[in-house]
Amino acid sequence: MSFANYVWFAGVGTALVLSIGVLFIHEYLRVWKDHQAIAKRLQLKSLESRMDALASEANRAEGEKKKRLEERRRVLSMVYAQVKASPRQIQQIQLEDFKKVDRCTTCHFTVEDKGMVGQPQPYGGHPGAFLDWHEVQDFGCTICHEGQGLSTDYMQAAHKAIRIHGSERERPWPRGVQTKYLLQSSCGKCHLTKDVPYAPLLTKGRGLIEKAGCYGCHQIRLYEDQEKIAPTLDRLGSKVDRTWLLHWLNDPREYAPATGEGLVRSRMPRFDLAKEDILCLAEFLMSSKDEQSQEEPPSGGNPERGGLLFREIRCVTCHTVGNKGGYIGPELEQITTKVSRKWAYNWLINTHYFNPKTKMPQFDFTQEQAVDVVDHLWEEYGIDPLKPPEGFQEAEEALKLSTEERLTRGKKLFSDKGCAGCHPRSGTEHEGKTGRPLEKFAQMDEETLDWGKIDRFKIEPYVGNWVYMRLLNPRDLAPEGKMPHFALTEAEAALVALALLSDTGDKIPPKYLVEDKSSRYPRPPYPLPYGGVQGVEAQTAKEYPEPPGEFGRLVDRYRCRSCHVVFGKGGWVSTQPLDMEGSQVQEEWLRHYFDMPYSLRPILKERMLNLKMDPEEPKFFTEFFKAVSLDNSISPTLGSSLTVEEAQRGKGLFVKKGCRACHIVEGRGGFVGAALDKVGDRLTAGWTYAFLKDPQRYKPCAIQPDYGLTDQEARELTAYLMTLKDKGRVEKVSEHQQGRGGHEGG
Amino acid sequence: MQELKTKSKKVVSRETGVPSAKARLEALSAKGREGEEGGPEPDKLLTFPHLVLKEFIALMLMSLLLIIVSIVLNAPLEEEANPSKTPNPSKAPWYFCGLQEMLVYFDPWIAGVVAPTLIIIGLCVIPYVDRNPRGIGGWSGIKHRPFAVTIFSIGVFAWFALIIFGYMFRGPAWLVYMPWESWDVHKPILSPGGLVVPLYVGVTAIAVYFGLGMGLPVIFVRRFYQTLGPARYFVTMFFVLCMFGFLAKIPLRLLFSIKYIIKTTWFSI
Amino acid sequence: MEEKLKRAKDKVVHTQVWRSLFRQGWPTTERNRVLTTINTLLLHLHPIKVKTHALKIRYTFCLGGATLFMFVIETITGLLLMYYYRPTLEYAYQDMKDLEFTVTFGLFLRNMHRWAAHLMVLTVILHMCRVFYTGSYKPPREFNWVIGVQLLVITLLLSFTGYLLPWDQLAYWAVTVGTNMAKSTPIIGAEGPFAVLPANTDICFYLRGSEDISGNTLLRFYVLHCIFLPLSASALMGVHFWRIRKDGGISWPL
Repeated sequence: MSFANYVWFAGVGTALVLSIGVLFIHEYLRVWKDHQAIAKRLQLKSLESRMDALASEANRAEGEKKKRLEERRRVLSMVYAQVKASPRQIQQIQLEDFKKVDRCTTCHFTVEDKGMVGQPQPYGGHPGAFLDWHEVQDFGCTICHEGQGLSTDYMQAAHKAIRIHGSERERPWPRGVQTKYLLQSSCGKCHLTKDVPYAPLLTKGRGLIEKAGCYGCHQIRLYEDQEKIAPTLDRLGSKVDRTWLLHWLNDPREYAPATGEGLVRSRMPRFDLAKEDILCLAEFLMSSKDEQSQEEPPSGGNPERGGLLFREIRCVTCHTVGNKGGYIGPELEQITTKVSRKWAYNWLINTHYFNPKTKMPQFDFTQEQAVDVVDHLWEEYGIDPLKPPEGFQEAEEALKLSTEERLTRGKKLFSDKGCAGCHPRSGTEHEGKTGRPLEKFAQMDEETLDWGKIDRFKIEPYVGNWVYMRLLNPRDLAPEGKMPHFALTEAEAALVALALLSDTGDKIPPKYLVEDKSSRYPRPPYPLPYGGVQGVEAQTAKEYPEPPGEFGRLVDRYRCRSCHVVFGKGGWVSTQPLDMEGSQVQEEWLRHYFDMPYSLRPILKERMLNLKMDPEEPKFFTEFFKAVSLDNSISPTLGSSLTVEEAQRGKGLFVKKGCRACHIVEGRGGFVGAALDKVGDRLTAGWTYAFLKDPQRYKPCAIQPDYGLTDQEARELTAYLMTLKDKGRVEKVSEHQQGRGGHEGG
Repeated sequence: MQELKTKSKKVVSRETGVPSAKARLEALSAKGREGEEGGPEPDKLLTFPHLVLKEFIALMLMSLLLIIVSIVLNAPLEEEANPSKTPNPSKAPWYFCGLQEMLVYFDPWIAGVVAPTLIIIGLCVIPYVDRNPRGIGGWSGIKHRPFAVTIFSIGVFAWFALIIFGYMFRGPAWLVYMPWESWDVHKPILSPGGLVVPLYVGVTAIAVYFGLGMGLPVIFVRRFYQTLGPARYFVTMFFVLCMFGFLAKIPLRLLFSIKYIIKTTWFSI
Repeated sequence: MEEKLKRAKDKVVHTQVWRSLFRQGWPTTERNRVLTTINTLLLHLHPIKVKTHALKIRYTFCLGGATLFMFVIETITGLLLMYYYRPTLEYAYQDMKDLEFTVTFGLFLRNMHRWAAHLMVLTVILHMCRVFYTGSYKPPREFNWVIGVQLLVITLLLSFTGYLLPWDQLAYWAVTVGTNMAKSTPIIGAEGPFAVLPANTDICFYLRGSEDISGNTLLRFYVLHCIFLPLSASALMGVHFWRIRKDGGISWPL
């Protein structure tokens, strides 16, 4: 045996023993142990100071209050003892339904303690009230925050969204912890409504998807059964000017440039087509003509009378003129370059014939009135005819294709570019959805996405970034791609990306889902009116009934549903659903309102159109509302039981609750809520009472807070409000009431 | 220290130089085997402690190495298996990467089945075809048995070269990426080259290759053939030629972009 | 004092328990050293005396022994890992995570098992090279070489079957690539030349227990990895070591 062997033996043996020692120390020193110890220490300290504060407060207090404070202190001391006694160990939340285990609370030990809010992470309490609605025991952490909940180690918990470039793509978690900018996309996993409470970014993003009509080309969750957003292209040949069409196809934003950044106007995206392609597509689109159904407008309209009418019926509620107005209809300032005078005249006369799906009501214009309005537009906004866009003259001459060939090529372009996804056109009903399905979007593999020429060292190869860049400038990523260029601002693109990322494809147990596909706002909490459907809870927009009979005809004609919810379906331009109208307002007021609609809130412009109805029609509407559009939970006879004493007490209550901060009464008050000056003429007592008791139940989007009024308080307030009447009309109304038996009003 | 030294010296001197141990050793050793080995009996030492100590040191060294590596390096664990998400590239474990690399040059039935089978059988027949009695028990092999050592070395070298190339130099779409190069760099997919040699040329070429390979040594290296005898000679040459055949396909594919030497409807080589 | 210690030692050494455990005295005399080698289970694999040149590290590099040691480590760590691992689709991956994050020494065990496996493949190949270059496969050791080749194959299979068990992307796709090769086996593979069997009865199907890698494959590989292959390896190793002794111990120069 040589000496060297013994040296080796001793050396290696010592090293081995040392390494085993290191191994044990390494295993013992797990980071979470420190974190939990510190968290506990901090929490105990914070509890102590809170208890001390309570004790000193209790010493100063008397009676009932003292008792309450002492009770709170006792609860805190129990918590203190519990925390102190709890052993240092791995904490985990098991979510049976999700088949998930979250160990985040091992380090974030104090997350449920509201007294710890603001402490440095990971020792801070959860800010906000989110944990009150989403119990930690039911939701865990990673359902909202993502990351790897199984981990007890900082890096492995995926706090930082590390992606290692190159060959080592070790990333053992599907998604990293969400940054605060994207956090709201997690809300969208369970909240399958277009409007998600307390998630404004997500709501906006989902609204943008709807507005931009992304679902025309892509399969997107929540937008499966949408109607096409753009106007029909049938009869386009006899509607628009060909030169205008060339401009429009070349760059839609050129047509309405002055209306601000983002997806404000011209939802039509820019397709970056070649000039030849545009010419062929225009040829194809212009080939759909219908000259027979149009008649020549009579000459000699009076533009002044037209202008008066234009203002009187409030066209600007939907149409923009001079950068002011609504966004429902097209902008009218450049209308003369777009359509012919003949088309405009025929459109006014026969609106629903030319586009059965338009949101515009069918006005009851006489021929003279129509000519007046048209002439007003042409005189006010008449611009010189357009010149073809730059280079098109030459391209036209250079294009050596027969009409037949142009039509074929245009038709192919029409289907290739997915025009039919947004525009209805007879013969193309089966087309559309040419884009990549965006369901389970967050699961999409970054590797399969086309990153084009993007330097992936400079940008995180993350699917959210991809869609963001793709929305802002589609050509950067795929120069040959089909995706058109939407007029989105950077913020809007980020919001759309956020909304798309909310579709993670995770399996969410049904009891966690918040579903409703019917409207932007949650399903109406009130039972639907009308006959057999009453009380049936419709689950999708399709299940809501069409309004019946004459009422249905009028609703269709005046397109009430463009702005109001009628029978569960419709737009939310107006915050006033019409399904409870009968229970809500007084008959007399309603009849007058149709004659001269006005805005209830002083800061809002009048938006309700003056529909110039036939005198019989407002009467019919009023009767229908009073007979059918009722909510059974609202008492029709409450008004008669209110007393003068109650009204006096109500006046005090009105002052005490500070209602005037938002509402105008007797000429003074805030501008947020509806003016209450003449509310006694307008609302029924039953509605007022019910609304005060539970505002959001009757108007889901109302910002009126729920004050938690007692029955008596609500009665008193109602009684007071019902006394607020138009002094000039009091006599008249009381006469009327006597005639009807007087069970309404106060 | 001084004590230890003298003690260790004493141990050595006592156990190596004692003649009675030698006599006992002869008595213990199996005399019948002397004829088989044909050489003189070497010096012997007691297993305990000489061998045992060394083994124990080796064991401790390996343990030390493993413990340190296991503390420092974590075993890889990626995302949960997802059949719908294919990583690009999907690589076999490193010891099979050589075979995977062969897929570039051969159809899977050769690279994945025939080649490994031949390698295993080829390894098994080595002791039965190698008639050379020299070169036992030492590292001076190349002097005494140049042929065996050369062929085996080429095989081992090719095996590891393919593994290293396949494991470290291949990236997405099995394209060549340097180990320090990012896989995010977009690479043009070079035309794989689909040249197919006409059937008669291919069959002739392979027949000539094996014919000449078998025949020429018989004529020119007569002593080699005679030592082995016909059966051993053909088995040896079959495996040697197969190995060189496999390796020869690599330059054929890369330089002349020949996809198949023989292409039939049933199989292609 | 020294006397007292010696007496105490003698007392212990002469008890019935001690003598039943250790049949011979301290290995200070030659006789006792010979007896130690014979009487100890692990050491009796060795002959009583070994050739001096075989003791040179530079001759064997202890590669065979290292391989055996790796196998022992794999067995021990593997056994411990089996306590925490369930070979089902539902749990396999999650158990790996639990092992990593909650089990004491869990990650270390897994690391050790993994790296020792890779090391074992390496040492077994290097051992083969050593045996070749020193001509140690020559008569009378031909058959032991063949057994060695079998052991090499089993080692590769052990490592390969173990590769799937974590059920992560790496495992899934490496094993997919590996087993896909079986599909192209001539005649009995579904995509090979002269294929006669459809994809649901071919050799690859029997390897995987289904057409794609699935829970069946996981279970199959688990049983192979934990029971069948280690037992085969142990049996062959027994033969391997026994043959070394029977063939005259380690080879020496002539």
